[in-house]
Amino acid sequence: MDTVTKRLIKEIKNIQNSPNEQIPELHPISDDDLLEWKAVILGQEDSYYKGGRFELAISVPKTYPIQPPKIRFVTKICHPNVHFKTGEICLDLLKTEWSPAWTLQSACMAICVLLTQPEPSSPLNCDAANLLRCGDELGYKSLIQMYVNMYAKQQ
Amino acid sequence: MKDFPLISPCDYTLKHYVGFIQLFINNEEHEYPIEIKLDDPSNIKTATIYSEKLSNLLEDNKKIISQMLQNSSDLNTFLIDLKDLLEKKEILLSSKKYPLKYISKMIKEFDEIGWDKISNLKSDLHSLTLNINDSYNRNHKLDLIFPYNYNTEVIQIKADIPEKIDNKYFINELSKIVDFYKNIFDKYNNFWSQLEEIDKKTWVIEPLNPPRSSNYRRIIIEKKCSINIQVNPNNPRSFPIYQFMGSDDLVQKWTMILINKQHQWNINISIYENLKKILNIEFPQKEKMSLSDISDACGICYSHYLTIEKDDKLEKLLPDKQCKNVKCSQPYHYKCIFEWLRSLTTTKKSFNYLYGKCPYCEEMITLPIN
Repeated sequence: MDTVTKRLIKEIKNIQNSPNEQIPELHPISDDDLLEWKAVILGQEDSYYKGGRFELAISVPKTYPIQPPKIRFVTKICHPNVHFKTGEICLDLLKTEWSPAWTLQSACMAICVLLTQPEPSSPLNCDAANLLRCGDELGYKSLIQMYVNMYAKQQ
Repeated sequence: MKDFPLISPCDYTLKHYVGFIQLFINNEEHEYPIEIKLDDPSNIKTATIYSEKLSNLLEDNKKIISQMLQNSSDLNTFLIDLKDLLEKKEILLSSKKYPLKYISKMIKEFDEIGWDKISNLKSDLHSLTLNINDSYNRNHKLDLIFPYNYNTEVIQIKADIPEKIDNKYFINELSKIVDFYKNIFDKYNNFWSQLEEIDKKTWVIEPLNPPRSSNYRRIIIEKKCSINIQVNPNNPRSFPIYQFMGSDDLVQKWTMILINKQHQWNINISIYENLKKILNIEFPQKEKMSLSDISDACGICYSHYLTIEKDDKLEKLLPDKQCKNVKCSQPYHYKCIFEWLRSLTTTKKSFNYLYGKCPYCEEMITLPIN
């Protein structure tokens, strides 16, 4: 068994032993391929994403955990650091600040935190970032909640 | 045909040739029947070659032959290339056979040492394994490879012993080989019984399933601490080279104890007894604990054992590198942490060392480059 598979199996066990309620789903899409994962994260109660349910697609490179997993939003989301069309996430931990000490679960938790604490200084969605930078809190909140209602409502 | 007078077309369509191809092998001329069919007589690329006697050779070299067909301008030049190739391959094949005289000599030797000692015998007698019992009831395996040019080369012998034996001046006679190695196996009896006692009475975490050639053992002392001892094969009861591994404070504690009591080492009792007396402990047994109670897994691959290939053998290694930060002391496999540090842009390289940050606590880690 190669090192990636071994490590991912350990991670699956850890996720099963200590699930995170912010992340109701985090598992490989099929049993045959451990490198492609699906995750679902929930918008936190005290954030504008409250009530939203967002699906993530995680692609684990063969060189994991030396290299970070590729994570993107499948569910459309309006967020200063997420590309509206592709779902690409701008998060330093998924790029330069990655370290093998992180796991897929902790990376998803970091994305949950990003939802409540956006970084408008390095935007992928300029419209959302501009609203926030201009201090238009009301406009920002309405825009986000509109998209949550359109795409991410929990059934 | 110009260079092949024995090959001629069957009819005027020039689509079908039959005849013999002559090969010179070891100064002897051999003739092999051959048949060539062309779908398009003007295009050599459409040719197919048949020969019952050469079918194995043709099959083995299918790729090269089809390449040769692609590159040839006409049938004559192709046949010259083909002849060249077949001659070379035939010579190679015939050099890998023993003459009858040699085979009967070997069979006589097998009879002499007894067939019960022989296993894994290749059908062409190229290699075999000898099972030898030493005087202390240990079974040993000797892997023998007989060279094809037996006149000039010696038999290659692989034995699982803690020394390297150069058999350049060795006689090529099986019974003498058996006697010679029996003596060597007996010589190491004391060394092996020391290690066997350790294997039986302690929890060895490295090497797993140690071969007889291995002279070191990593033994669990207590939680998060182990000792690695290296036994001298020629003087097995002497004070071994040792190294404690594990968390820093435990390593310091045990090292101090061993240094202070080193003079109590008694060469009349075994290594196991000595260690037990000097360290004043009962060695933990494997059955009562699991590996995760004893040591942490590597922080990168999340495993205790990492399988690596060394000298064509698979070895399972435990984490052998640890973060120096006492609060972190995260263990890593050398290979894992090396790959990580090498991938970092902030890692510095100086002489034969890498200096980079621990993935968990960002403390500097120094790593020699092997």
